Amino acid sequence: MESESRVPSPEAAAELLRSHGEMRERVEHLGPSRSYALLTVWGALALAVYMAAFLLSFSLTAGDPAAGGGETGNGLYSNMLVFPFLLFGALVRGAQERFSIRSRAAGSGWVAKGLVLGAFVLLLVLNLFGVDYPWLLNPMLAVAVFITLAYEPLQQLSRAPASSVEERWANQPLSPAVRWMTALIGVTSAVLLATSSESWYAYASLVSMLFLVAVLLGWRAPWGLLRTGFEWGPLHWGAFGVTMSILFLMGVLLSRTLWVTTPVSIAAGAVALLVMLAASVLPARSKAR
Amino acid sequence: MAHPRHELNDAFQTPIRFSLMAALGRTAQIDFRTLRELLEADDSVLSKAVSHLEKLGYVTVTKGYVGTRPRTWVQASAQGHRAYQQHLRALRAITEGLLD
Repeated sequence: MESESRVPSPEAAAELLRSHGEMRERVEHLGPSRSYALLTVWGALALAVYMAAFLLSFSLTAGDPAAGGGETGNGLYSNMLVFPFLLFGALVRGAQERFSIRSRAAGSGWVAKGLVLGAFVLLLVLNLFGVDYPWLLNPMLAVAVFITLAYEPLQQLSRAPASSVEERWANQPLSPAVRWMTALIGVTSAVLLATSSESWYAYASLVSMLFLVAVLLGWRAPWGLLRTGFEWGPLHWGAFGVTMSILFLMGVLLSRTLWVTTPVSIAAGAVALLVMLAASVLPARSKAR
Repeated sequence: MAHPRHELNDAFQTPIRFSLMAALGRTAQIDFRTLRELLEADDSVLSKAVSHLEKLGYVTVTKGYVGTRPRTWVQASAQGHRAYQQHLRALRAITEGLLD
């Protein structure tokens, strides 16, 4: 015989619904925090730019290489794109560990992601087979990717001001191991950039990939990318953003033009190095404790 | 029309499990320590609730590490969210006085 004891009375059911509402309010007050939303938007931007740069670099016929046409579309400089992007992915995983409440895409979000991914694969295949298409589709895809990934966090950022309980994402002095990792990222990026106009660039590219493999294998170590991403504050992410932008831009320019001469590549490498070295030592540890 | 009590789900009949699903919502992934504070429960009670719902496929648990410090994240599965929403609809129907 069915027991009626588990069936709540209307009053008890109303009380349960009230407690549900109160719990939802408490959670929404706590997060996901605006900092987490900003990190998600930043990730969306990085992915969108990466995809556009990737397509532009591999494009055999799309667009107008009237600027001079370098080693157009042969993928030689794909490392300029892949290297920072793989680093970025691992670092973001570490940064996400800061936040006690995170948001994951709902069902409709996955459908939209699937569609833009399908569009990316289609354009990539068209590129590989030398099928011509309007180059505008490349930046349009980038915009579609950004909107798909950043829509919900941007809504959150525009919806409400920072709550009184805001997870702090401030710049803190880095631990010694993470300082070294930050500096090494700068050094490796600089080597990749500075040697890009040289005939022996392929060897430098190989070294950078070996570095990448090593850090990915040790990603959970105290010096690893997970810890590095966790400790980085907005300042460090900004510095890495500058470095990534330089690498992406150089990757596209090297693939499609002859503009990158030795002085240009060395200057690009120097900027990336200085930016990351500065980030590795900032903010300075306070001597007075 | 079937009585709404048939739509009630035994998985959510305890206060802690009900509150846990309320906290998780549709898309939130919340770490164990924050859940403990939100629900005002101790580790053992919350662990049992999470395990029970995980066995039913209503929540997913992800383990993470930062350095050597472990962290556990809990998120409602699509199935769990649908089941919880059905439970809420049943409660609303009951409050509208559809009991015999």
